[in-house]
Parts: sequence; structure tokens; C-alpha cells
Amino acid sequence: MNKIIKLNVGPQHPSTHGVLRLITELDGEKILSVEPVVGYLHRGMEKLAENRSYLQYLPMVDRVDYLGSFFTSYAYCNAVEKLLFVEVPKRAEYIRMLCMELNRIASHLLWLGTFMLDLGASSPLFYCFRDREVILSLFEELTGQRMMYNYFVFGGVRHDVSDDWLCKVSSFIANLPKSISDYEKIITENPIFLDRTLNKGILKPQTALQFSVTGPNLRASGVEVDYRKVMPYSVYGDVDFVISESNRCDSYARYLVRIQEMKTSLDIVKQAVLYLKNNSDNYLTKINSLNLKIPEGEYTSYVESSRGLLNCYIKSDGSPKPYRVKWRTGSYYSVQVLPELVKGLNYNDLIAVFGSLDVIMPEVDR
Amino acid sequence: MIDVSVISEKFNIEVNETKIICNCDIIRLLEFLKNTPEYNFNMLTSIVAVDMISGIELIYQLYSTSNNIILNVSKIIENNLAQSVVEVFKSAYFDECEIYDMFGINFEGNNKIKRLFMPESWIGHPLLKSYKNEDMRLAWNE
Repeated sequence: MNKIIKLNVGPQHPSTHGVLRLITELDGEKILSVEPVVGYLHRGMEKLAENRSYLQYLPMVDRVDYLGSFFTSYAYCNAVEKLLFVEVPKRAEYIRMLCMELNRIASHLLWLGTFMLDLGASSPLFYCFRDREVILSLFEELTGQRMMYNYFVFGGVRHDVSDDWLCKVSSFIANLPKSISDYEKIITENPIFLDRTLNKGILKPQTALQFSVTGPNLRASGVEVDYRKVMPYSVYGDVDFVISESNRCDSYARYLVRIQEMKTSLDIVKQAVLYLKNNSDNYLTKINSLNLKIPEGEYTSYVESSRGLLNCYIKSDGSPKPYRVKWRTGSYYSVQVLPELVKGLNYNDLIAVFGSLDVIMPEVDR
Repeated sequence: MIDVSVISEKFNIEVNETKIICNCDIIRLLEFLKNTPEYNFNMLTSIVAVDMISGIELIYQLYSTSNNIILNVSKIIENNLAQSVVEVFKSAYFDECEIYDMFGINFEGNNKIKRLFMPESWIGHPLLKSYKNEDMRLAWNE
């Protein structure tokens, strides 16, 4: 005799990547419905902005997405620069792009490790963290911080990169492809992995668009939208790269797309390093950030972060404080689409499918 | 900015530098923008709410994946009651819950509306400019 039970998953659950609560309805082990409950990590980022000057808010934006701090930092700086009509030197933009792409690799590596952990494989986590550690050390050397960098400033970056640092980046990107191919050898055709991901959590392109899913999740559903390509910001228009995409629509496709994206990021980093080694220029347009008064106006920056489209909307009323700041993040919409993906699946697929979406909670709750 | 003459023929709108201001039925306008092939705005990337003191401005940020264009549609809400667009774009559900939570706007047609981030028992709507936290249950107000 089957009885429908309500099961509460989370908020303190090791596989919810933060604090997400899922209210599930189960018939035996079959999932009937899932209701995500968010807000456990709400820090009021948008309200805090209204009580601070533009410069005071700058260190806080790194906390919106702590695994992709450079993206949020860039989105905010870009919006402020656009409102101020400040031109950013090309060298600064290249440094920013380099940082963002390394950040994307670090973020995807962490995703890969934790996704494997969600599926029950504990050793990949250590290998992924081994490589991620190198990137974090590079960031630490550059910015003084391992996670909350506060390195981008209005008009450029805080200080220039050294040749020595660029050499270290070069040697890192020379070594990473081997690690990635190792992961692929272990994971891509692993029967257990295939069993857990193939045809699981199917996200049809129409559903993805309806739910405004962006980033790798959308590209894994066969919709080729990458804001680096379709609306080039920073200096993405100057570099060559391919958009990774898959038509499979399932968890496996999302894995394939992210692995491809790491390789794409490596290509971009390579080109950025080459440019920075051969061109010297100013790395910062000096503006008086302390008494920053921004003319009235509003601007939305579009950034392709590692978890999808990142928007930073700023409205200024001419005073030293922003009138309104609004963050639009990728995870926010990926959480919302989860019930559609897991309906009818077995309970043990819930975490596997959720892991494949690469959701982190600080970005959802802000 | 896209050519909006077709929209302005059919709908009562004003055109601003960065957005179009909707003085008509928002659901019909969004449906039109979504289903007209030359626009094909198939994604509502987000809804931004701004407290303008005289009312709440809702900015619907649309994106078309096939035509690669963005469009911001603005609608001013004066009596704390807006129309829900969940029927047109399902992604709007979280956005509307958040706006209800932070600005106290009710969405007609969204019958599952709830506070998204703040606890159900929270008093007031934090992102309103007039918001003052005088809740005596909180330790710092004692």
C-alpha cells in the first residue's frame, strides 16, 4: 500500500550547496513535487547598497557570489563606469578578463568536485581542489585574498600584474589541460556516472526559456546564448573562442558543457596573457572614488558569470549613494526550475539533478 | 534600441532613452512582444522594482534569444496592486514573490504569492524608502 509522504530536505543538508530547503512530496520513492524554500542566506545586499556610498559598497559585492567574486565585481564596476561615462584602459580590461576566466575555471572545478561528491564519488573532489588551489594561490598573490578579492575598482584594477605572475599563469594553463583530460578519462564514460546522469533531469529548451535559465544550463539545452559572444562586454569582442553547447538537455549535457567551458576559458586566458606580455598601457583611469557623485540615470550591466546571466542594475539620483541596486543572478532561476526537472524521478536523483544545475545559495538569496 | 513604431501603433506607450513606459495592459503587451516573430522576446530575464515614492516602478527586462535584442518595459504601480505575468513567463513567479516581500505589492493572478526571503512573520517591506524597522521583537530594538 502506497502512502504519499511529505519529506523535508534541508536547509542544513550537505548537498544543497548552502542552505536550501526542499519540501518534497513522495509516493514511495517517486518524487511527486518539490517546493524550494529560499531565504536562509539573505543578507539584504540590495538594501545595504542604499545606505552606503558607491565605494563603500564595492567590497560587499564580492559576497553576492563568493565562488565567482570577479564576475559580481565586474558587473558592479561596469555599471558604475557606464553611468559615469568613464573609459577603462584596454590593459585593465584584459586583466579583468583574465581574472574572470580563471575564476570561471575555479568555479567549474569546484562544481565538478562537489557534483561528483553528490553522486557518491569522494576522490574527484580532492583532485579538483588541487587544481583550484593553484588558481586561488595565483589570486592571492595578485589581490591579497583567496576569495573576496576587491581587486576591480572604478576605472580599472587596483594595481598592475607583474610579468612574474603572468609566467605563473602561463605555466598553470599549460598544466591544466592534462588534469582536465584525466577527469574526462575517469568520469565521461564511467558507467556509474552515466547511469546517474544520462536522461536524468531533462530541461527542454522551451522550459529553460520560460524559466529564464541561463548560462551553461541553457547551453546544455541546445540554446546557444553566451553573453560573452552575443553582447560582448569588456574585451571579449577581441578574443577568439567558441561557445560550448549540447543538445542532450540532461544532467550529462550540463557536465559536458562545463568541461568544454573550462577549455574555452583556457583559450581566452592564453590570449589575454599574450596581450598583457606584449602591450604595456595604463591599468587604471584615475577617478576620485571617495567623493563619487554619479549623474542621474540607470544602467544594467550584462555579464556571463559561471552560473548564468548576471545583471547589476543601478539607478542613481545624483546623490553619493545609489538609489537602487538590483542583482539578477543565474542560480535564482535555476532553483526555480528544479521542480520541473525532478518530477517523476526517483528520490535519489533529486540531489544528482540539483547538483548538475550548479546552484549556490548566496547568489540566490543575496 | 529597437524600432518600437509597431508597438506604439497598437499599445499606449511612451518611449524613453533606455526603456518603454507602458500605460496599458502589461500582460497583453508582453504577450504581443513574445509572440510577434520580429521581436520574439522569449525570455524575461528579470523584473526590477524601484520605489519612486509616488509609486513603484516595475521594469520588465526582456531578451530575445533569436534576435539578440534587449528591451526594458516599465510600468508604474500606484495602488500596490499589479498584474501578474506568470501566465506569460513562468520565471516571473520568484520575481513577483520577491517584489511582494520587499515592496509589498500584490500581484493579481499570482495566487501562490508568499514572502520569498524574509520570514512570514516579518513586519513591513524592507526595500521601501519609507521602511523603518521598529519591530520590538528584535534584539536591537529593545
